[in-house]
Formats: sequence, C-alpha cells, structure tokens
Amino acid sequence: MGGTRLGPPRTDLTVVELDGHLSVLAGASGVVHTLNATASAVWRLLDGTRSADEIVEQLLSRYDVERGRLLEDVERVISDLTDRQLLEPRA
Amino acid sequence: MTLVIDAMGVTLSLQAEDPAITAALTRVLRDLTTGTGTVAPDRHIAISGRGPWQVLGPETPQGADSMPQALSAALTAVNLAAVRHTPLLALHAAVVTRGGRTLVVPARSGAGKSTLTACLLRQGWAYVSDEALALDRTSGRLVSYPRPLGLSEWSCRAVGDPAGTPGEGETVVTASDLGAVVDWSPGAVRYVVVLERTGDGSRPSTTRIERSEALGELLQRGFTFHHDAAPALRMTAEVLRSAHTLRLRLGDPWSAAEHLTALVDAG
Repeated sequence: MGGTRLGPPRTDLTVVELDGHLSVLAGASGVVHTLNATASAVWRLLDGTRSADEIVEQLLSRYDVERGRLLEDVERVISDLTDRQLLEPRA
Repeated sequence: MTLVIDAMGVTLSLQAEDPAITAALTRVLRDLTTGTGTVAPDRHIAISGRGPWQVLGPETPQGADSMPQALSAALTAVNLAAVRHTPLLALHAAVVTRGGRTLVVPARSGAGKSTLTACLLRQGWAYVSDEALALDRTSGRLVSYPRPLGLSEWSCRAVGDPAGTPGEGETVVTASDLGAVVDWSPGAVRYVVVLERTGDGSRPSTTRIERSEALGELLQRGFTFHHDAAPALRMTAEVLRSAHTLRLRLGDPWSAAEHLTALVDAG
C-alpha cells in the first residue's frame, strides 16, 4: 500500500467537523461514521494524488511520532475507510 | 367528545366511547391539546368499548382489558403517529431547560432518562420533552413535545411518588404533576449529557466527551434522521457546536439531577 496512489473520498458523502473530528455520512446507507483524530487527519490528506507514504511524510512534519508506527496507523485507517466503502477505488 | 392534539407538528384526534377514558386522556394530554385543527384521515385514534376496550390507531388495533392498559395503548398510538408523521427532525432524547439553558439527554430506553427527567422537573427545571429533541428542519428552532412521562413504580419512588394517572405498569405524569411548567420557547442547546448507568448507590459524576461522540449518540437514536440525512447531519452538528458535551455516570437519579442542576447553575 505504501507507494500506491490512494483513492480520494467518495463524492456523495456529507462531512461535518466538530472539534477537529470528522463525521461522515455515507449517502445511500444513511450510516454516519465518526472518525477519530488520526483518521480525521488522514482523511484531510486524501486528495486522490497522495500515497500512504506521502501522507505519512505530511503527518511527520506536524506530529512528533515514530515513522514506522505512524505508517502502521495510516495503513490501518486506509484499510478501515476502504472497508467502509468511503473512498473511491484506487487510481 | 373529540380531543385534538399537536404532537411534534402532527395534528391528531382522539375519540373514546368511554367517558372515563376521555377524562383520563384529557388530563394526561392537556399540554398537547389544541382543541382545533384539521386532522388528516389517517391520524385519528379511536378507543372503542367501555371495558374491554380497543385502541384503533395507525398501527395494529390493540385490545385492553383494563383502564390503565387502554390508556397506555392510546398514548403509545399517539407517539407512534407523531414519530411516523412529524415534519421535524426528531432525535430520541429528553429535553429540559433552566434559566434559559437547554439540556438534552439522548438515551436508549431503559437507561434512566425518564427518571432523571422527572427528578430534574421536581428540582425546578422546565419541561420540553421526554421523547424527542425536535428541530424545525428549516430554521433549526427547537420545538416542544411535552408528552406525559410514564414512570415505573421504582421511578415514582425516586421522584417522591407524584400524583398521576395509572397506566399499564407505569404511572402517567404530566409536567404539572411534578410541579413543573412546560417551556414552549426553549433556547439553544447548551448541554448534551450522555447517560452511563451505574449502580444506584454510586455517586453521580460528569466527564467531558468529544462533541463528535455526542453527535453519534444523538444520531443513533434519530427517529426521523434518515428522511433527509445530509441536512439533518449538518443541523445536528450545528446544535452541538456551541454545547457542552458530557457523560454522566448516573447512580442515584435524584442525586444525579442535583449534580446537573449545580453544574448548570455554576454556568
């Protein structure tokens, strides 16, 4: 997953932000997904051009965290968002 | 005699053959009674018979062998019709106010919401609803739905055995039975309190939670959230944006109400 370009969030979602945490409504299902701080930070960087490695680089410049652990967290978030069908298919 | 009521923006009529049922409904629904209004054909609730009784509402007819059972069935029919037809964004929660501050308690059935609400009313809060945070989908204005509360025997004891009307396994009480008034113009939501039930003997305490968690709690219990979900999500988030969001470890409900009262009075 590390160097592969990731799909952006689906375009039919409604997203609200409260205190930095995002809640995402999946259009057809009516299900609201509440994202934690890490998932919210990753979500904001998912623009359809970045890979997981590039997202990790962006986050490393903001947070004091060990690279290997952050990569694991980011990959877990991407996997979770993909399972929830909140992202467009990877380009 | 026909009783016409407004329940969450839905005009309903109730007609009972038995004058004793009419008297009981008139008493417990007085805060919802409008006396006038055009009633759509599918919004009539009829209670036939003089014992046994049959409640004919929007759902399957319900038979009742006792007055308390007939009263509870009629009130359930009212609530089902309100939830089914309301034009409002309705989220399952209790709503009370004090000094212009509105407090919302989202909770699943059995979490202690009604008992806590009754204790708050006994302690001087004003009543908005024990059922729904109901918002006008256009303006976001909070709409009162002061339906009567159904209190179990245990709840009645916790509240000091208020006067009320016997229902099936419950005592049906109005705001005035609890010495409270209805707030017909509740202000913006200032507190959202998520309940965590603990042993009755434990001391109540509150901790701050993320607004996003409170949002999830409210939407999980959205009666009408899915009717137009995207604007409803944005509206609910706006409600929370200026609210304090807390988790209350409930413990003894009377003490928990005192705890919330002190917290809100302290500003």
